[in-house]
Amino acid sequence: MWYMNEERELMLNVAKDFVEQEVKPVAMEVDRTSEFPTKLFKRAGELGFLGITVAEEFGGLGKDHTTQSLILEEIAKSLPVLTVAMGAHTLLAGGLLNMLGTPEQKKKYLAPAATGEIILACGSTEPAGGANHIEHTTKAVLEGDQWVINGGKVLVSNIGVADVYVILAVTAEKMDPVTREGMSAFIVPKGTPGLEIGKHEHKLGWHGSATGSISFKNMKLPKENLLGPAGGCMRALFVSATDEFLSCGPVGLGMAEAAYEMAYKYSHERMQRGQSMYDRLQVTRHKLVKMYGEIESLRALVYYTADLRDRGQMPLKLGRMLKIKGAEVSEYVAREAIQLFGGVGTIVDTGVERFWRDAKVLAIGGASVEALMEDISVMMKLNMSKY
Amino acid sequence: MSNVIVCFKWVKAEDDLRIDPATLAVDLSKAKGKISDYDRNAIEAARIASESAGSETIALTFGSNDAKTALKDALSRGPKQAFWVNDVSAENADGFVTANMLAAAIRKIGSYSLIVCGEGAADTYAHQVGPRIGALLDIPVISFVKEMRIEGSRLYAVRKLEDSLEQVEADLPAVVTVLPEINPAPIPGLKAVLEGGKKPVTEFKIQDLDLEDGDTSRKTDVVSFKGCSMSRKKILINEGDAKEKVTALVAALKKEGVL
Repeated sequence: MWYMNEERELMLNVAKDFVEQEVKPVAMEVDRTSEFPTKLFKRAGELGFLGITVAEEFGGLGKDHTTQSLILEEIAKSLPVLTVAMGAHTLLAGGLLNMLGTPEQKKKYLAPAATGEIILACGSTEPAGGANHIEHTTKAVLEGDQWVINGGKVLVSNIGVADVYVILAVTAEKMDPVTREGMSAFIVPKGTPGLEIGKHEHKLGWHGSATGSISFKNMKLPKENLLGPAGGCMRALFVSATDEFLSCGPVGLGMAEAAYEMAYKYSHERMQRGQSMYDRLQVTRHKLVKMYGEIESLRALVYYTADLRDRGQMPLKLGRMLKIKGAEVSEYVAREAIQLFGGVGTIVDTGVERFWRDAKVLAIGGASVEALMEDISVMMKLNMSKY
Repeated sequence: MSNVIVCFKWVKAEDDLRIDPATLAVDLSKAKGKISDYDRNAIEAARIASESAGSETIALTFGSNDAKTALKDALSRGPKQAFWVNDVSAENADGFVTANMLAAAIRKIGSYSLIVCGEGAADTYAHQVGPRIGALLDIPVISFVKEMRIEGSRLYAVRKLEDSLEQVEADLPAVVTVLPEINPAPIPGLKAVLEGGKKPVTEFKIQDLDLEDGDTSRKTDVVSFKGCSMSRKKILINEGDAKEKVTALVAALKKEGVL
């Protein structure tokens, strides 16, 4: 592959060994129990997967998005939900800390996050308005030298297991719908009085992502827990969200590859009238060819976009397209894989249907395919971004 | 205690091998390289031994140009530096040639108290190199090692034999060939991988080594190199009562040489 080099090959081998030796043996169990894979998450930190793009001075590797994509793709082949937890930690919360944090804040929170010593969560979405921040009602008011925050967030990943939450709250009278000024980011350590953690939601897919609601009731934070300028976090959120969307491409790719590999193998093993399904049925062969084509198209887009990002471009449109295509391709390939397995494919223990469930959530979680298309259409009209 | 030298081999990853079902020819062209499985355990055993003795681990390999990646991989697993006998003949070398190369390189490195090898390579599993190095350097060899410790200048090891364990000891310097049971081979982190790429590598050419005529000539000939295929004989024993069926089954197994 054009994007591979010796260093990336060696780093990818680390991920392959991790998946083979530590993730695969427990992947089905995580899906079955929906328990957050704390041990695997911590190991991901020890191995350096949580700090790939973080600067070396803050405990990271100072490497690029292509390398990060390779690692995410590999892990998603076995346990997609681990990449979801990693994305919320590294790209959303970690991204905001990286862009908005003071050197002291980065040293205190980003550095231990880069090595997995602490787990981060990011609270952004609200029941009213979803990802449309203009409608958000969580408010932070400065009283003396403390911020007092009231409100709540929904569909937050890593709740309960996180040591630190990065949350958004309106600090102006009202958010400016044009400039998006008025929204601020805050650092909330677990155990802060007034921070209430909801229950883990049982979802269609992403079992084990520890997703749920958090609320703030007269939650008081010291002044220095403001992350970035008061009222001015939206630009950084735009970037961290783009990186998160970009990461959904390799996650979708990994899921699609896993489902395809399982279906390909099964179609050769399953015999009917003395022949394998692959040899006997043209429809089986054609399905696999189409799946293969979709996977390779996605791969091209994933690494082209990651390369653009590494070259200093901010692929606002393609980053969002990666979440759309990552979800669509993985959902399509996993659905067809189940179809090729026949009735056996619907049995949970076969292990193929979970990729379809996870793909379905990928099409919605974080930002729905439809919302992203709307975003891109606006960018196209405003000629906002070359890519 | 002076250096612990660990020898390792860069082999083709078996998962990448493709066998033509018609001719049984093995296609290596798409196979990536990897450090031979037991050698990963050997590297870790060497690292632990040198750490406990306060000495340095040195990695050593005999390989052609594609061993460059192997060196970085090995160095990410703990050794402080690596030595590389670089010659294309490594691709077809047998245990005799490889041991000659490695022993000559070890003499050139000079200072060593322990040499660690994997019990066998993932591709040939010939068990040749470690014992041959010991013979060439005229130092004790302990093979099939599943545990070891160093006290002063003495090595204590447990050998895993077919049906028993054997405790042995030897004066250092010595060669040990280790089994995977000796320790799990940890996965190096990404940071270690990046650091591995920056560690020093010393390259030897064959002419740099003190070799004698014939040292570079294979002692074994490869007659053929083929994959194997499993095929069923599809014999159905379906006549008679249970006793007769069992008798027929036993007779058939004896005929096949299974019993």
